[in-house]
Order: sequence, then structure tokens, then C-alpha cells
Amino acid sequence: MKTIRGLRVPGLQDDVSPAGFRHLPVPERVVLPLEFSLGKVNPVVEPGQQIRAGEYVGRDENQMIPPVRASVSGVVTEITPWPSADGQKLLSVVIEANGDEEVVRLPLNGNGESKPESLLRRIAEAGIREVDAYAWPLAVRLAQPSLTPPILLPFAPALRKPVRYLIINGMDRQPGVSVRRNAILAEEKELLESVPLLKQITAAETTLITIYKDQKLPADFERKVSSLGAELLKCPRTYPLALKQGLIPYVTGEKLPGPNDDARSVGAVMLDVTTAQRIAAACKEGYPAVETSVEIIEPARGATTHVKVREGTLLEDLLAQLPDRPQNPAKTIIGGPFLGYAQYQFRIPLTQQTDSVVFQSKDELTHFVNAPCMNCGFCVRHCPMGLMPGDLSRLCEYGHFEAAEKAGLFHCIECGICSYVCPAQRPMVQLLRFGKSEMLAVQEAS
Amino acid sequence: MKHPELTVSVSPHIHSGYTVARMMYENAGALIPVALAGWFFFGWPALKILALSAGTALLVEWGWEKLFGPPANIRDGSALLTGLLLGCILTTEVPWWIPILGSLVAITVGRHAFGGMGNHPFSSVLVGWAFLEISYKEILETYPLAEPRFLLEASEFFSDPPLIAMKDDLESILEVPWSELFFGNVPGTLGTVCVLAILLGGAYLLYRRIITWHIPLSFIFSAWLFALIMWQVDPEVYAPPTFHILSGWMMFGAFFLATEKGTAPVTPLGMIFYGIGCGVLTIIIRTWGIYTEGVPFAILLMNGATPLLDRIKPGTAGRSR
Ligand code: SF4
Ligand code: SF4
Repeated sequence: MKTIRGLRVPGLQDDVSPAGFRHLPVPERVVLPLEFSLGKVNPVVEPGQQIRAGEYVGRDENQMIPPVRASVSGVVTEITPWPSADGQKLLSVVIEANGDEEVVRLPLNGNGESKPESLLRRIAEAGIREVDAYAWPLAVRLAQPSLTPPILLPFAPALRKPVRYLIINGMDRQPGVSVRRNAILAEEKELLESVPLLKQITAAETTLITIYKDQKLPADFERKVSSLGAELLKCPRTYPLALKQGLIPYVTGEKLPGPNDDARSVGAVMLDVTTAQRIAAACKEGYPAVETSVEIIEPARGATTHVKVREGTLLEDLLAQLPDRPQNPAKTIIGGPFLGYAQYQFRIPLTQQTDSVVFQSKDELTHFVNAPCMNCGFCVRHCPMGLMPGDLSRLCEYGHFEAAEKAGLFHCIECGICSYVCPAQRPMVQLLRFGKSEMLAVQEAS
Repeated sequence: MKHPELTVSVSPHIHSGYTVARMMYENAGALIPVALAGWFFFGWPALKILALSAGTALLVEWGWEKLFGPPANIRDGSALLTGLLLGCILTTEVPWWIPILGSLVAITVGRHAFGGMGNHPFSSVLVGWAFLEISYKEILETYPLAEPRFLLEASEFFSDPPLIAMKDDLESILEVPWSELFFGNVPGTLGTVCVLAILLGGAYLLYRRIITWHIPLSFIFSAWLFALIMWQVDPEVYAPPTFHILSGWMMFGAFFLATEKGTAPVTPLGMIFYGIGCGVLTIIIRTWGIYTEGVPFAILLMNGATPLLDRIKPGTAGRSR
């Protein structure tokens, strides 16, 4: 194990109280995007069609990308491009709900032992999506080599490697967010149930549940985990250790070839606790992933609420259902203070890829300024990827994109630490992203 | 639908709140013990010099900002720091116009002629000082005796700064107790004599993480080691290593001058090489050069090597593609 560069920021330090989830009633309408970073699925419904929660609305012909399932029962009203949290317009299915709470279950093949193949198929079918961006779909990453469809192997030779580490990550992605810490406390049963299932599917040599040192845990948690043949790995409270580019080297001692490569290339599988809980719900109860948990954070009031809503609920509708909804936020960020996207409106669907919404008041707004880099080296000290962000930002600022690429621009994971620490308050991530997009545009053109 | 009035920007949406201004003022605050030591040994003129150099630096920065705009910025505290540092490396014997002229050159030539904050390759303080040294060598090298306000007795050992004494007569420095040098009870420039005060200020800089240990430690240690080797070779000719690191600008240079933001490397290995370069060059200049003090020239030379040293990248967390 190695130490990791990064930053200790307040927010990972303070612990959550076991708040549990507030379950909100079924919303009036949901918007379900069909396009994902992994690819898109085709709609299998038509406008006007009646649908029940849990039934397919979109499927991938090659069955690689998890299907999209209706999260409410009702009528499909339209299939149309809809703005997403990250500022794109994604083809989405809009369903007008009828208020029915029932969800159609996945077919369960009786009680008794399930074989890993059928478990894997059920995971692939459950429509589980993850907050972290991974190069391959969940079911592909989880499969041990003998369960991997042979057709994939030429494209991804890393899948031939046996799984050495199964990492179930209970650490929150970024300071200021406590989704996963809350999930461990609130849904301990599902998490523990997922461990044997995941071990069976991956055939991992070592199974780890990673948590922050001194993180609040359910009673007797460590013993229960070890009785399942897994270990609790207590990690330093450093950002961005919880991201795969930090955690994989920390656990395995091996660096990922590139920041976007999958952990399987070093023989590890990584998933987060909320995904593990969804897997348990799908395999044990046949419950498809139609819900998402969202943390509503209002730093000015010190308030945080964990809610469970049907996937695709619009932020607007969710706010309307909250009795103490944030008043006049100056900035609304989906996805956390370091990694999230600022929104200009509230009609954004909350999906399983969303874990948190931050409402900042006027006083909390940060203003980055167009100041020169004073070469103080703060960013170099803290960049988790060992880059020289100050240099990179200057190269991007002055249009030397190729030099920036040579200096490792594409190893940047946009964690935001350099912007956070820069005393000159330069818009570091903005400059680096600009450089990346210019480089990609050049590559596409040629 | 009426859109709520929301601010939109790229991530991250949060900042540490640690700004250039805060860093500069904290850095200037670290000079408080140094300034007090200057007063303690050389009296009120020490504070007068500091006020003149700092005041001029602020005035010039203000004028530059009015005329040419950013990156000149009087509020960020960097001009204040430059002025104070310049004052610290002058003696209390200099006439009033010396600190004023020095600050003027430091801010205009040393800093803004090169493009301002972060773009000037050489320590602006030392550029101002070098101008004075070249033009008014005699004035700069007239040293007052140290006259402690209380507690200590005026030193009987030195009538010249230790480094001059060393060049004149090596024997004379051998019987001096190290404590004289450590407390700074010697003739010299007002901010550099008291090692104790500098260490206090330096410890604060380290504690606030404005600087890291790499530059000061490698600077001082490599100077010590190099002097030790020379001393081992011939103790008749060369001064003991501990004398070297306790005298002259060594400590002040290592903590305050060599670490000036923008003129020093930023990677750990680069900083260590930079420190070693400073340390070794200092001893070389002190021993064989025509100047008595090697620190400022060593730092200026290594400033020039900084772009090269910054090419020593930290290991990227990923195999190269
Ligand atoms: S955003 Fe990129 S360059 Fe900046 S600290 Fe994170 S990884 Fe390094
Ligand atoms: S932290 Fe900001 S000012 Fe300092 S080196 Fe990095 S980019 Fe430059």
C-alpha cells in the first residue's frame, strides 16, 4: 500500500449522524434518460403506452448496457431530448405517473442457491447505474474470467485476469457529501448480503470494504464483515482517495495505466456501497433499480437530508415535496462541491448517477479570477496525479495544447484540488478542461 | 417557466479561502521577530529603514497599478513583503535614500519589467539589492556595531561582520562562542544577524505551509556539508562549517530569500537540487570569491536555473502512455 497525494479538507472529517433516508412519495412524472457515457439504449415504448414500474422502457440490443426500467407506473407521454445534470441534452422517456407504488419484480428462479451466471444476468438486467464513471458496465467488471462472454476478450484482454481484489467502497467521493457513510448506516443488511454474492461472482482473492478511519459504523460491523470473509480497510481521510484513481493504487500498489482505464487492468474490481446494496436488492428481492438516493445539502444552514426518490424525479418536483426546501439558493450544484455541475434551472432528472445536490447561498459562492500563476507550487504539492497543474494551466491558457498533452494533461482527473488551493484563485479546472476539449477537437479533425 | 436566478460555473464550486494576499501578509508577519531583533541590536533606525523600504515599495506598486493596471496589485501584499525583505538586508548605517532607491528598483525592474507577479525570474528583492551593491558598495558595506538593548552585553568579539573577520583573520573567529552568532550579537545587516529570530519566523512559515522544508533544509545542510569537507581538508585555511551556517545571510537567505514565490522550483526534487545549488555556491563564493557574502549571488544564480529544475517532474500517477 502506498500513501496518496491529495488534500485533507473539512467535510470528510466531520462525521454524519445516522440520519437514514426520508422516502418521498411517487412523483407525478419522471424523466428517464436513455443515453449514458457507456453508450445508449433504444426505446422500447411508444408515447401513449401504459407502463408499470419495473418494466423496460429502453434496451441495448447487444445487452451490454444495462436496460432502463420504468421507475413509476403510468403513461409514456413523450420521448424527447431533455437537459441532463452535466449540461447535455439526452434522449429521454417521460412518464406521467398514476401514483401506484407497486414495482414489478425481476423473475427469481426459486429459492435455494443461485448460480453465479444467473446472479450476473440479474445484475445486468436490474438497470443498476453508478455514480462513478467506469470504463465498462458493472456486470462486465464483476464477472470472473470464466463468466466473461468470450466475445469481449479481444477488446478487453484485462478481463482474462483473475480478480485479486474486490473493493466495495464505503468512502464518500468528495468532501461535503455523506451519501455512502449514510448508506452503510441505514442499509447495513443489504450491504452485508451483497458481500457473499459479489465474492461468488468475482471469485476475488481478497474482499475489502474500504471506509474512512474512524468512520461511524453500525454496531459490531467489523466482526460481521470478517465473518463473511471480507476485510474492513480503514483509509486516511484524504480527498480524492475515494475515487478509483486514488483508491486502486492505494489498495493494490499498482498504478492504473491511464486515469480512465478500468481497475480490472490491475486485477481489481471496484464498486461503491450503494451499488452493492442495489445488487443485493436485485438478487435477493428481485427488486429492480428504480430508486435513487440523493443527499440535499445546504451548507449555509448546516442542513443535510438524505432522501430516496424514484429514479428520474425532477429536481423541481423533489424540492416541492420537501417541507424545508432551500430558500433562494444562489447556486445549485448536482454532484457535490468538487466534482458537480452547476445548474441554471431545476427541471433536471435525478438519476442513479446523481448522489447529491448542493445549494449554496450567495456568501458561499467562489469567484475564480483571471490572475497570473505566481508559481507558488501549492497545486503541485497537492495534485493527486502528480502533475504540475500550474504549468499545465499556463500552457492551456496560452494555447500550447500539445505541450500540455505531453506534460500529462490527460492524466488530470479534474478533481478540483488545484483550483481549491490556488491562492491566486485561478480557474484551474476550467483551463485544463478547455485544453482537453481543444486537443480532442484537433484529434477529431485530423 | 420562470428560471431561478442561479450562478453557473465550472467545478469545483469551493475554494480554500487561502489567497495570495493572505499568504503574503502571513509571510510578512513571519518577519516580525526578525524586525524586533533588528531593533534589539541596532535600535530605532532599524525600524526606520524597514518603514522607508516598505513604504516606498507600496507607493511604487500603487503608482504602477494606477498607470498600467494588473498584475500590479497593491492589496495583495506582495509589494509590502518585497519592501520589508529589502529593508532586512540593509544596515542601519545607510542614508535614507538607499532603502527608497532599492525598493524602487526592486518593484519596477525586479518585478514589473519582467511581467509582474509570478513572471519575474529573479528574486525582486535581490535585484534591488544587487543594484545598490553595485552602485553604492561602500555605503552598503559600512556596518554598525551591535548594541543590544538589554540582557546581552555588547559583543567584544567583532568589530566587523563575522564573514569579513573570517577573511581577514581566520584565527579571530575560532574563539567566538556559537551563541554570539546564534543570538546575532554581531555587526551586520539589520534582519540577518539574529539566527534565533529567523528560525522563529521560518518555523512559522513552515507551520503555515507557505514554504516546505525542502529549500531551507537542503540549502543549509548542503552548505554545512560542503564547508565541513573543506574544513576537514585544511582547518588552517577554511572556517568551521557551523560558523558558516550561523553567520551572514545564510539563515535569512534559506528561509526568506531563496523561497520567494515564482523564483524557486516547485517540485520536491527540484527544490532540493535548488537548495543544494544555493548552499554549495554560497560556500564557494564566500571562500574563493571576491565578495564576502555568497548568499545573494548564489540565490540569483539558482533563480536562473529554476526553469530547468522545474523540469524534474514528480512521478505522474499513471504509467506513461
Ligand atoms: S484537477 Fe487535475 S491537475 Fe488539478 S489537482 Fe486534480 S488531477 Fe491535478
Ligand atoms: S497554486 Fe495557483 S498560483 Fe500556485 S502554482 Fe498552482 S496555479 Fe500557480
